[in-house]
This record gives sequence, C-alpha cells and structure tokens, in this order.
Amino acid sequence: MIIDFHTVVHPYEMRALRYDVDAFVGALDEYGIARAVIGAPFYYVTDYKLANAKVLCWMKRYPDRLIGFATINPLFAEEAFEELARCLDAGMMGLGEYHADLMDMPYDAPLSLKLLDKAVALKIPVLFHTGAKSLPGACRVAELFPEGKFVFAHIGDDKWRELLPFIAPHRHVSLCTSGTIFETGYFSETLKQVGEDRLIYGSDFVYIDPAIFIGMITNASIPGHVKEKIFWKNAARLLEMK
Amino acid sequence: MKKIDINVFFGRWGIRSKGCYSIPELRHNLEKHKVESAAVTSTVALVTDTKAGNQWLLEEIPKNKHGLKPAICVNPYWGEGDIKAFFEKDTPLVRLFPALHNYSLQNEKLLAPVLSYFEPQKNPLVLLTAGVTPQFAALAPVVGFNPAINWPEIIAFARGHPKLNIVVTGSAPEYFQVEDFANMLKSNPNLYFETSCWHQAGLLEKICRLGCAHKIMFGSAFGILDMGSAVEKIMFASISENEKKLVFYENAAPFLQT
Repeated sequence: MIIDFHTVVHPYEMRALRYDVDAFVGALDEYGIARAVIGAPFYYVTDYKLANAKVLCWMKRYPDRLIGFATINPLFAEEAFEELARCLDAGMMGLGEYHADLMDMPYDAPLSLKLLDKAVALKIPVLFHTGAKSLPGACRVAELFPEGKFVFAHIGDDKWRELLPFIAPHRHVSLCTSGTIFETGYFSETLKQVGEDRLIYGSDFVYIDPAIFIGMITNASIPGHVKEKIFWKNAARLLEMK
Repeated sequence: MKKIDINVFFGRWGIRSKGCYSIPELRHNLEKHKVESAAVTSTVALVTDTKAGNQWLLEEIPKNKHGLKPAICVNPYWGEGDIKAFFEKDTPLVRLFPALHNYSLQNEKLLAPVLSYFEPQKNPLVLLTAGVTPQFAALAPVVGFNPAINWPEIIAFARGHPKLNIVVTGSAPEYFQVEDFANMLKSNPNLYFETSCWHQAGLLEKICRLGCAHKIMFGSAFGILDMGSAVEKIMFASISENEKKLVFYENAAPFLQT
C-alpha cells in the first residue's frame, strides 16, 4: 500500500508534460500507488481558483483515489479565506503545495500568517514547498504554530542538511520526500534525525518519477513496519483516514 | 492621439500584480488611455496551461470584440492538435515564449508545425517574448527557465522566416547597446520591438534619432504593469509628433487590421 502525499495535476508548460486525469490515475496504478494527494501550485503564478476547479474536477472523477489539497493565494485576502472554505466543503482535505516561491511571498509574511492561522484553527494539514529561498519562512512558521499539522515537502531541497537539525525537535512537522533530492544519505539521515513517525512518501509526480523514491525506500535497510509507516501509515494518520 | 497596445495580458496574475480578469475592466483601461485596439494574451496560457488559457481567451474576446485581438500563446511541444484548433478560429496573432517553454528558436523541426499554419497568413505577426518583468524573472530558477533569450537567436529566427513579422516583447537594449540595436533593426525589416520594458531614460529618444521610430510599437504589458505609466513615458519623450504617431499607432495598425 502506498499513499503519495505530493503529486501535481497541472500541465508543466515548461517541461512539456501533460496528463489528463485518466492518464494520471493510470500512472498511479503502474506504480502501485493506491491514493494520492493532488494540488496545483503553478496556478499561484496566475489564478489560484482555476487550480481548485481542476483539482475538484479530478477528485470527483476518482473520489477513492485522489485527495485534493487547496491552492490558496493569501494575496487575495478575504476572497482567499472564502475559497479555502469552499474547497474544504467540497471535500478537499488540506492546503498545498503551499509555495512561497511561486506566490512570491514568504511564509511568515503577514497575509500568509493569517492564512496559516486559519488552517491551524481548522486543523487541516498544510504541505509546504521548502527549498533554499523558502526555508527561513518555513522554519519561522514551524516555531510560530506548534499546533500546526505541517508537512515540509522536499525536506528543504538542497538545504536538507540545514533543515534537519532545526526541525527535529518540532514534532508537529512531518517531512515529505517529494522526489527532488537524490543524494546519498538524504533518506537515511532524515529518518535518523526525525524518526519513523514523521517521514512521509511523496513523489512530486508528474514532475518527478515516483519510482525514484519508491526504490529508495524499498531498498533501504530498515524494517518492513517502518517502510509501511513511510509509505502510507504516517500519511493516513495525518489525513485522519480510517 | 490614437493608440494600439501590442502587449496586453488578460487573466489573473497571482504574484503581486492585481491582474486584469474581466473584459469590462480591460475595456475601461483601454478607453481611459484612448487605446483603440490591443493584442491580448491570457496569463494562464502563458504560464500554467496554454490550451485552457487560450480557449478561455477565445471564448471571452468574441463576446466583446471592440478592438481586442487574441494573441494565442503557442507551446510548440504540444504538437499539431492544439495548434490546429487555434488556427481554425482564424487567429490573427500568436505569442511564442521560448525561454519559458524551454526550446530554441533555431529548433526548426519543433517549430515547423506552428509556422506552417501561420506563415502563409496575410501579415502574420508573432509576439516573441524575449524577456520578462523583474517579478517574473525572480521565478525563473523556481519554474526552471532562462528569463531572456539573446539577440543572435532572434536575428537568426527573423532572417530564417522573412514572411513573419516579429515583435520582440519584454525586452529592451541597454543604453550603451543602442547603436548596435538600431543597426539590428535596420538590417532586419521584419523585426520590431515593443516598449513595455523600456524603462531607461532617453532610450526611445535615441532610437528615434537613429532612425528607427518605424520599428518600435507601443506596448504596456497591462495586466502585469501599469498602462498609465506606459502611455506617459511615450507622451513625455522628446520625439516628434510624427514619431509618436508611428510608435503609438501606425506601426502596429497594418497587423491588427485596424
């Protein structure tokens, strides 16, 4: 059983990738992924509401396979809160991939903090993009919201070595593999520092091949029950899935 | 003074700029600045989904014709299927964004399906985005593109496609490059530039003094940038009334069938 906590539904114009929902779910089948969290962060650059329309459409077609996360741009203030409420009412289960770089706003900017405050009050998981540029803001919100159900995608990306010692004591933050770092030691060191209950499998498909991290986890020298936690149990707990 | 805006964006722009996402709002701005006609590109088509963004644009604009000309954003990687659908709707303009969509203008094999539909049209005009606004350039390493393409590549493309009229958008020469820039314009009759990213004082004046007023078109990048400032920088320029007429209107008029 695999839950992929980090996938993306939109076309990557710049990478010439285009999947419709049937092809997307067909690909999940090939990789043995039972359920996937879907979001559409590139719409932060243009119209975040179009992202949600698309995610809802996909969720409706495969309600047992796709778990929608909302794309919410805090720049649009009250409208953004209304959109979040609308998305959750329609069955979305979280916020993300919340992306400071794509919306060109640090996570700890005042408008963003208001949105995160709302998400924390609603007790929904938030999947954050983390990388070199967005890491300071992500670390700050980890400190500001100890009740948050936060998941840091990419584990800081190429700054993963900097992130791990900081985030280890923040037990409310889980880390998602999210596909983009393939370095030796990335997975084992993360597991060592944050433990087996806070590490979640995510691929960043359609951008990154899901097989890469399936392979990394499957071939890791760790017990089977730990692999199960990473592949699905930790995600299921965070999503409060039965 | 009559104006044609060759570089307008329609749709939300989620990074800072308010954007423009209703036809009445766009019309209001155009009327306020006495812009008779405008070439309009969908922001969604440009960045996140060419097909959906173009379709939306084509649905919106026929309802509100009034001088608005859809500029269809073409990502040549999507092949003939998408392109055919656009051209069946009698698309007068296309926009290419090779830096964002990661291809070279010298990749003839990739571009051939697009150009084979477009080149035979009467007065075909390509808006070629060569650079981007600073806010968008900040996204380049995130999205994974080079924010600018270089002049040699543009010149080679213009010379290889003499039937195409090419307006380079989002790009300006540095002041020290102006003479080379003017020579480039003079030696490539099908090559034009628009003014939305011409922020340097004295640039337009010098280009005009070098005899290139007939190669520059007014562009505001409205929807991302402010239209008022785009208009005023040309109104305030120390160039002749005739040169202003060329830049604001006459250079673009034959291509927008105004």
